Amino acid sequence: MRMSRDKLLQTLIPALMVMVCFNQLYLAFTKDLTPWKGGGFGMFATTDRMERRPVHITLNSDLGKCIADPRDVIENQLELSGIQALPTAPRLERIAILTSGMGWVIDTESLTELHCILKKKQQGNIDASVQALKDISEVEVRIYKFSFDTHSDSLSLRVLNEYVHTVN
Amino acid sequence: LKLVNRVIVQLGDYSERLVGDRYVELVLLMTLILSLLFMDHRRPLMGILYIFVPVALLFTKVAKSPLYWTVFGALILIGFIPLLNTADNHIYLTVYWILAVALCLWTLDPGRSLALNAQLLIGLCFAFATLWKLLSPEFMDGTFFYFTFLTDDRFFDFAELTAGVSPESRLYNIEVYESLKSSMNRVDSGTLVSSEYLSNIAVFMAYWTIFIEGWIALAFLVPNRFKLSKSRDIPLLIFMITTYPIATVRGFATLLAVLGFAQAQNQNRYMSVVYIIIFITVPLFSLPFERILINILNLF
Repeated sequence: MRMSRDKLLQTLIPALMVMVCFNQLYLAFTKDLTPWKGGGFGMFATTDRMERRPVHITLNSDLGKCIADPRDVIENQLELSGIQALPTAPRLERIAILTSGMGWVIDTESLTELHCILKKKQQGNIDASVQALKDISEVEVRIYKFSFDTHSDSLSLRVLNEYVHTVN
Repeated sequence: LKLVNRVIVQLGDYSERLVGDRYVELVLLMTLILSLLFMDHRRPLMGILYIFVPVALLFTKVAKSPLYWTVFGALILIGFIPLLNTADNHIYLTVYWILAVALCLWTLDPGRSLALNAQLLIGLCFAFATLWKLLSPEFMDGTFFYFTFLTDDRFFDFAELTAGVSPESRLYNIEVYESLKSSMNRVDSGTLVSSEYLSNIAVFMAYWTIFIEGWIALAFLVPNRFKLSKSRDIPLLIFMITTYPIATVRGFATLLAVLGFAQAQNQNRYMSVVYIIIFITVPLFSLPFERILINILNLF
């Protein structure tokens, strides 16, 4: 009796590890979980790391296409990293809905000729020179991964998952 | 030679004393130090570690108590849940090890149970690491290492030393890489600057990694009656010595030293002392060996 109990205690954790590893393989191949995370020991096997998965948020509005910083939408770094690691459709949808529900103003400091960049509207912001974004019609959330070609040494972004939220 | 002989005799004497309870105590102590220094220190786990570990380090009786390890393990597991998708793999392995310690202390022969668990955790970790690499076409054709040498700052000196990737190229590559990584820049392509020999080095590194990790997996997972199991420590030590001075992941190196030490009880007692030495000297792995070598070569 004692021997079989000991055997169980000795093998429980290795068995748990095997289950987690197979689950990680499943998530990586079917749900785009980065191979580096999830406890499957896929680190140093692919270039597709969590940190190399930029999240692009684009708002279509009366001012045209504007860019928002994902860190303004998801302030909790742990949550944002989780989305980059496992970018499921419901997670991207959550970002899109949160973005559309927030107040945005043009970030004149970061403004470039190419892009209209937004920043989060602060509470009690009454500066008349700050241009607020109105009539948001659509929020596009795209998550990318790196793609590298060794023959040409070219590095590019490939869409991993996307969600387009139409605002009524 | 006399000195080497004396060192070996001393190691032998010391290893002879590492038996039974003393061995288990040392495994527990090393695990506590590992947890305190190299666990994921983000919020859910931080509090648990800072309260629980110092208590056990101060009171030996507490550190040897199965009840302490069970509560500690359970809290670590709960604290780890929010980090499941973002924690590094060696943090997973550390959590498994803490849980294994908690369970093994309830068995009739904790030393033997710890040794078996350490052996299986090392074997499984390297088996899945090898499987992932075999399943990844970009690893097998060398793309992974090629790209890593050009963009990962931990490998820059190695790339310069072995393939002559210049410091100027490295700066340019970082700029391209960072602009694509940013969520705000909206740059969607760029070209990296490489060197002539890099692809050969990358392919060699890929096959070397498959070989050494596969060897560790097999050696640790085959039953003890197989000849391959007798030399378990050799590939593990080769891996640690050749990998961590280049890819400095101190947490993983320390964890492997703890697991290596724990499993060595069933194998070669001399080796257990070698693992203790590695455990203590892991901070030296952070020395910029390649940079030192580059500077020496530049003198000639």
